[in-house]
Amino acid sequence: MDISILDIVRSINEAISDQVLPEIEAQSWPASRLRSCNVLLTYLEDLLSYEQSVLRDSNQNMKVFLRELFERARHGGGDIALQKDGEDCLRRFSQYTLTEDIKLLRKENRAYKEFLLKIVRSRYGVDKDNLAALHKCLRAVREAESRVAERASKLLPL
Amino acid sequence: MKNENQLPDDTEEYLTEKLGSSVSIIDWKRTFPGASRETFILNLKVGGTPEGLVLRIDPMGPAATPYPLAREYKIYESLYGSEVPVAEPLWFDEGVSYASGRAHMVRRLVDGSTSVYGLNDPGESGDRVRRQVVRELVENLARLHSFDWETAGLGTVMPIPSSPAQALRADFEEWRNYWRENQTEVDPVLEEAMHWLLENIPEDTPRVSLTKGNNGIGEEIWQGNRIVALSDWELSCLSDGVVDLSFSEGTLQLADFDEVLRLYEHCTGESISLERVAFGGFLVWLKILVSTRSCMMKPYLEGRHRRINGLAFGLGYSEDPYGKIAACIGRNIVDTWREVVKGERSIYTGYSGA
Repeated sequence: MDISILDIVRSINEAISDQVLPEIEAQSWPASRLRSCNVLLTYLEDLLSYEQSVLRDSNQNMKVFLRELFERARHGGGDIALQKDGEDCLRRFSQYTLTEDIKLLRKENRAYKEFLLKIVRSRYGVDKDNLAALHKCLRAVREAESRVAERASKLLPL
Repeated sequence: MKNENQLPDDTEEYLTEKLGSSVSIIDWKRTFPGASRETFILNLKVGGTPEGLVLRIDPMGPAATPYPLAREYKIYESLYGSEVPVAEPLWFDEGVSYASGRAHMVRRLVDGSTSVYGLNDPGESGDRVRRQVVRELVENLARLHSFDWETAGLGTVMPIPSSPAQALRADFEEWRNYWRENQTEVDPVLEEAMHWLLENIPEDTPRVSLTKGNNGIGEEIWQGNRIVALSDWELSCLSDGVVDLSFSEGTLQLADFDEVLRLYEHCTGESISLERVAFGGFLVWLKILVSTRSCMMKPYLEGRHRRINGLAFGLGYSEDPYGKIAACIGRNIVDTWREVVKGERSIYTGYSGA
């Protein structure tokens, strides 16, 4: 059968927003719950459409930043254990650069973020130059990932 | 009781016991939207006399606020009879057989509405209503911010900042720590944004104030264009009063925001720096983000409660404040705040503030 999960989700979402919700009193709890369904289905539509490319972009941004950070840190000393930890993290995922496996992309994303969180909290290697690079990386991650929730964020779930 | 929209079955018996007189429920309704806690308006006959009460109960699932209902009740008790208008609180209880032991409070019903007639009208008549509504809210907030919370004993139910200069920092750190203890995902972007904000906290707060938290249309009880009771104190805390100006859910955007600031300064007799206003904006977005993700969505993700709106708030609604907070990273917070709020429209009309 030639039908995708995305098509089914989109059809349910349209039926709720275009045909069911207009028939229900707006200021009521049933309408509120349907609006929540609307938000979630919209989120799901965009997750199905964009998650793979969003994760690839986001991971790429973090990977480039971490590589450059460790390269600079190698010459400047710093916390050796933390650096080794981060380099292990990069090595673990470097062989999957071109993967389309969504589960692996999610795992990679989480690993990079966990490591970035350590850097943000410890300020490891974050001197004046690296601070600008860190901010640039985080902004790029944010921009890439905002795509998934952008449409859903404009709908009120109440 | 079948679901969260229904009044607990034994409400009549419970009220009869508490009021010491025979109670019959004429009708009731759950207020809408009232997402933070279940709130019911009850029209009763108490010993044959008509009476209106409001029952506020902790939800069966998680509340949309980290603060307990007991604290909210204490605020009502402290303010009742002062120049800050609130409904008369009657009692608070929890751990009893009623409502499956959930915390609840009862207050007298105040005659009025959470909406204002004519607010959305076009033209001069609508403009007049909007101006009056803004003035009324600002005057009430200014009165609240001058309230002597210390003598009223509110320091026993909420953290007290060590000094006015530390008021914004204490409020911010409380929410940052709550996020760290209840975060829904690993998030270096938010962590760095919070780090950046902490490095840019203004310290020119003139005094520690009791703040309302979310306020304005939809929260307070209005008669015409006048507020007769400030209600729903689920996010109230001791902080810098200026935070409330960013937490009016579109109400203060009905006027030019510079005029709002001048009016507030006039009412309080104190000047406000733009740094405080901007930081207050970011702090409110952080509170909304943490409330929707940590309080509402996390229990869903952990399988503790499958209320669908918790997930919808966490995945959808929280994205807007998240984006606003993230926008500050590495930038001047006043400039960023101006940029973010510029062109924002009040949900009540097309007027653009700031």
